[in-house]
Amino acid sequence: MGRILIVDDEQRMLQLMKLYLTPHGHTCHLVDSAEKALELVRTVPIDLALLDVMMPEMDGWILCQKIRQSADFPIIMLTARNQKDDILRGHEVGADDYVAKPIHEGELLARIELLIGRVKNESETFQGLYYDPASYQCTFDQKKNC
Amino acid sequence: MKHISHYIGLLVLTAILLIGSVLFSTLYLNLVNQRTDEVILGLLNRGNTHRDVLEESFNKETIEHVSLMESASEFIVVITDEKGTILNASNRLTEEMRKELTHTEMKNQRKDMVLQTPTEQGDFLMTDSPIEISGVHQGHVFMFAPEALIQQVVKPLRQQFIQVGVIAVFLSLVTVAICTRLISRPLIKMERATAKLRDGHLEVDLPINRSDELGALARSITQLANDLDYVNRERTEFLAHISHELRTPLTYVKGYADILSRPNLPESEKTMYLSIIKEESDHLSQLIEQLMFLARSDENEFVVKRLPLALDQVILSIAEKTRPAIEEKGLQFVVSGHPVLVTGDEIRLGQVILNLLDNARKYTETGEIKVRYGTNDIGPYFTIRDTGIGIAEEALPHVKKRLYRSEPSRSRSHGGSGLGLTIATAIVQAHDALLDIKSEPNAGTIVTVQWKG
Repeated sequence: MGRILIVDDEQRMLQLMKLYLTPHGHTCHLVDSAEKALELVRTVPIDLALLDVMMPEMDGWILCQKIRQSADFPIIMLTARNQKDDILRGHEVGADDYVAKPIHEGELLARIELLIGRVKNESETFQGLYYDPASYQCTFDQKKNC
Repeated sequence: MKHISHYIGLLVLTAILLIGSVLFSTLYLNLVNQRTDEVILGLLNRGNTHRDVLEESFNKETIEHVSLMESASEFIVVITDEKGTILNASNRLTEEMRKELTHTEMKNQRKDMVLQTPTEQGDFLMTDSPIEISGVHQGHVFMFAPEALIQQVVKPLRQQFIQVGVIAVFLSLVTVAICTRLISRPLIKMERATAKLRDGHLEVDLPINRSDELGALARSITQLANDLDYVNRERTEFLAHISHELRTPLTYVKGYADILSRPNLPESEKTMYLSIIKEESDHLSQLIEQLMFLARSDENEFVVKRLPLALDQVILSIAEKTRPAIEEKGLQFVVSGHPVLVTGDEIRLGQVILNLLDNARKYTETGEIKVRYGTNDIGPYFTIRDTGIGIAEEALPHVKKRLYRSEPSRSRSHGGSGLGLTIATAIVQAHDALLDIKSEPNAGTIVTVQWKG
């Protein structure tokens, strides 16, 4: 299914997300800081990211903005406050969706699958040439070309 | 009337006009009297001159000469003998003049005198200069002048006064208007600002730069608005933090409970998830308890007992309870001091000490934790010194704030709620003592609780 990046400073939350997502066939990349997340984004193809808002040093908003400078995969913010300000801010920094804590397993999965599905539909294949809009990558016969 | 300035203006204007009119009329009357006196004196002098001439040679030619001299002027001269018989008059006399003449004559005046008589034809002035030749009373020189003469002198004066008066009234009106505006403008501004405040717009800008009471009032209003704004923002921030603090453990409880309900979980995982749920729900209930405590302290509902208390005993008993956890981390734990008595609440102070020791343990990885107690120059005290990660300088002023953590979400990984120091500070303050925090990043933190004598 999807390769999902999960960023949260709390190990317990990362484990919980992993427990939620792996049974549904998602591959989880667990990262406990924004810096490590940015590094990972550069090297590993990602289909979707779950970012915690409250993190030390660099918070989820800034991380979201930085990821948006180089990548276009869907981003879901994990926030403890479902206030309008937060939703608006999420749109400003380029987040696609948000999930408020306490997280509802079914809702989280539904939102993830909706966003991954939409992006997958936008990807195109033409005579063996495959364009992945999430990573701006073109592959020809499964080999990276441009 | 809509504005207070109108009342003030009216009051000031009335006062100015009252005082002004009294001063003005006094001055006017004085000037009028002075001018009238001048005219009368002039008339008397004229009569006296005639009298002097007649005293030198009291005969028909001289009398006629004098009469002739006055016939061209606006005055009337009447010369009588000592019995009052008219010898000559420069003009025809009115009935009133004659009456006045005989009336004066009857008194047989021997002195210069002035009369001012109202008649139907208009007031007139009369002077009497008796003629005396070598001590013998020979007759009188009477001078008549119409009152109109005085009017002529007074009229320009009156006009001048009216002009000046009108200008003065106008000027005072303008001055009062300007003054009341100066008073009312800032008042109106402040009224609008407070109305905005009432409606919840807390950004108030009152550019009133005055050193008087109005300026002070404006500054107070601005200060009040800023304080309200601060409290408001603080509250919103606090609620957001509380929300985060409550939702995070709730997510774990809910999440791991969801996972537990999955079939075919190995027993070891089940135990792990259950212990997470237990830990997180403990954390939640601790948080709620602390919040309730803070709410009570905000309402000033929590009271501390004021009983004589051996502070050293309280510290030692709490220290022994926390010693295992501290030494388990491989830290040195040193407690020393002298017996010290304070008045206070054993349970609350124990809470403070426990909280401070917990903080020291949580944020110290290597080194030692030292507790000292006793009495210094100021009074009873105790300090807790650690060699932990310390607090950044810019964070230090905020650490006593509720839910403040020098790094967002840091304290959770250390198991704190972010409310401990706030509560400790509240308790210490209720004991009339001070809680002071000094810290250096990566060197350690010193917390001192100090009583005054």
